Amino acid sequence: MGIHARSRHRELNTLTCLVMKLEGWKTTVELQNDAYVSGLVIEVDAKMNMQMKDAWYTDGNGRTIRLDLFHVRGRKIRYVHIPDKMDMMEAIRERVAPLVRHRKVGKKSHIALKRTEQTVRRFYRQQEGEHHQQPQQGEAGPSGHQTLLH
Amino acid sequence: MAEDGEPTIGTMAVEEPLDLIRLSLDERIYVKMRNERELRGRLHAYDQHLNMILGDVEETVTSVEVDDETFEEVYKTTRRNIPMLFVRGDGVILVAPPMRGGGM
Repeated sequence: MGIHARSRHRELNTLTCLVMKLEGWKTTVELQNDAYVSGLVIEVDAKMNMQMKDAWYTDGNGRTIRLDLFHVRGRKIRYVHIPDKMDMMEAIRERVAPLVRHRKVGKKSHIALKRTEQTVRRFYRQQEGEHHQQPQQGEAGPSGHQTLLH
Repeated sequence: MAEDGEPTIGTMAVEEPLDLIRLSLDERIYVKMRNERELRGRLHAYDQHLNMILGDVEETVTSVEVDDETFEEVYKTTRRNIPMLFVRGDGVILVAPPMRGGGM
């Protein structure tokens, strides 16, 4: 796989493509070193490296510096705020939803699916049990387990 | 895409651990992050790195401060709300459904 194919693959299969949609928007990016930067996003690449213009950089101690041009490595980003005015839900429907295909399911995954459903159900039942503090929970334990095995 | 008589279960096909997170799409989730950060929010999208898009996020940051006189450790939590947030996956420790009754 060449460099271009790889970045194309990454672009198509991760949420970085949604961050790329922020090009041209004013937003805030929070970094791993507790600093945050507000500015106009110029460019985002497939590794989420980001270039911003007219940025205000605030470090962890609250000191703010003005930077005309700011570049940050994607790995150093913790959060990216999404502007209120931007319709991110539309972007998700457009870019991510088509990637979630109905997959063919084999026999083994059927078993896995059944087990998973049981686990999820058991989890909710347990939580419900804790929530209501049912007194008969102790004796319902073994019989409840029996039904799960079917 | 149901060919060869193989059944499809649409969004419920669970083949790998990440598929469990798909069950939480459009649900509120709890995310534990590195650096004593916790997020609660509605999961709109995720990918294999656990990059996530969360809506109506509440972030809780816990920091420990030592009292100068008594040398006691004081846990300070700061909370803030963010309408929509992209979370980079490398900071994520765990993803869970939120506990009912607000115990978490």
